[in-house]
Amino acid sequence: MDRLAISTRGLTRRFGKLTAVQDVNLPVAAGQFFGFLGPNGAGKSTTIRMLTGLLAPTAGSIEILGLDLMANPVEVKRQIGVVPEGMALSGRLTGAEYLNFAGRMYGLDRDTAAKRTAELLDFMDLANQPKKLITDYSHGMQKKLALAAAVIHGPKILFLDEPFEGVDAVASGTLKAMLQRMISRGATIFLTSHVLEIVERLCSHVAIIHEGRLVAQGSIADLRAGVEAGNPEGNHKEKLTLEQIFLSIVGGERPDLEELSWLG
Amino acid sequence: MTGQFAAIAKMRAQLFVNSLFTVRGNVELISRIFVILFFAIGGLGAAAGLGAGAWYLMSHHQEFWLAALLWPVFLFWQLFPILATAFTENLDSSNLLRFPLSFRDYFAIRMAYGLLDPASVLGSLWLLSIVAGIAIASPALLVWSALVMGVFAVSNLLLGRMLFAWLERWLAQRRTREIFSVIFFLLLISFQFAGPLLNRYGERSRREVAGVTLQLTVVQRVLPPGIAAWSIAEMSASRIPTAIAALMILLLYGALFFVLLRSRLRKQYQ
Repeated sequence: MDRLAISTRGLTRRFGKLTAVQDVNLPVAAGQFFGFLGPNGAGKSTTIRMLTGLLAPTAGSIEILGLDLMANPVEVKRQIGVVPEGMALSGRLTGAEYLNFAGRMYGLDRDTAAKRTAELLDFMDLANQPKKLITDYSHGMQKKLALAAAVIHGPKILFLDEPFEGVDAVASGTLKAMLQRMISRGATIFLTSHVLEIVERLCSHVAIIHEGRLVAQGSIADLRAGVEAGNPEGNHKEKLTLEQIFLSIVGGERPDLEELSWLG
Repeated sequence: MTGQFAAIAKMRAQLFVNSLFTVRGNVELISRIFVILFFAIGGLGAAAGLGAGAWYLMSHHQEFWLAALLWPVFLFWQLFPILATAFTENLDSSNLLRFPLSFRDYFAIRMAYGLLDPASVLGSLWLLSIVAGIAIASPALLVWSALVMGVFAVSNLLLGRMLFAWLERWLAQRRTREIFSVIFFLLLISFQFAGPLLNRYGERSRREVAGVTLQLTVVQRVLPPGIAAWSIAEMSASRIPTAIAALMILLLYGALFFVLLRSRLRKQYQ
């Protein structure tokens, strides 16, 4: 296998009696655009929080770029970028102030942080309202800013928790352009998303977590082949979409629309 | 590391400045001016009162009653930051932990946040004025009382940070902050009922109150304000070994708060 960017063994997290993530063994090769999928409450965000050093696992181990995360949290955090689900921005700063802050926190010197801040604001089309506070940004602008803050130090791995949620097509295009650029330069991207069409278009490999357990992983083509092999009687003239593969694996069923006949 | 500290200090300053220049900020600016004036007048008035009180007690050889001055300082230092959480900008640890911070730096940043909050500033000012009151009445006690008050201040700071670290996730919820702001408001207006209540029930229940006060006196002696007062009182009576023993107990309290705070922050850090 290729050099691993992320590797977990027996990764488990419990909150009291609830087991949010159980015995997850997840290898992600360096340079992959990796989609981490699952229904709501499946354990995606908990896994990302553990992989980024924001939450300690109850059991198991995590290696990031060959480094044990628990033993080398500072070195690992220098090499990764994170866009958490809530974005964790400081609303009362301007975009430029926040990016400068993030750059300095990642160890950039003052000049480099200022230069990259200007470039990122320009790329993300956020430079035209320099005095606007983040709290007054639209949701899409906040997502773009959160991504800019996560990449300002040039991370080797980028973790994104629902980066496209609530983002319009224009902002989504900017985000995708930025991510494709990082991949072309050899970075690894690990993202969770409910927008399966985007995942299918961007990601080469995916893993599916369901009720805290990893139920499938591999390239999208492999998963498709697996689903088709498991259902030889199905109509496979058209290629299965990722959504169909996902529903087939997690067992999602569409509700009976007959009960909503009054809708017309 | 220096760059990270500078970045956090700059960010805090920018947060403050930006909050003054928004539309909402204009209202906040006026309210802040009133709050700062209120705290400045109240804080300086309390400092003068505590200093005068310490001088009076030391001049009249009632050193043990210093505890009555230290308890309000202690309670304000611990309770005010929690009750005022609805009105202040709080640190969300996960915002910092995304960045490559060593545990030592993270701990130092959390302590620095504690040093700058109004309760610590006012608490330190009040302790200084108590030391001044003691020193004016009894100059020989200047060094000892400054040492004891210094340890007491550090214990307060550590305990306050420890409580905040434990309650942080809970306090991050808007509902909790709203509940605390209501409690804070009720506490503020409840003081005016103290006089009428005492007039009505004070005479009847004097014996019961005396009993409860006696029990509380026993308990307070083993807690930090009581021990700090005890140490100064013992030194004043030239009972040096007991004074040192009391200071050691105060140090132990500080060490206990440090260990608990460190363990909580370590858990957050991991």
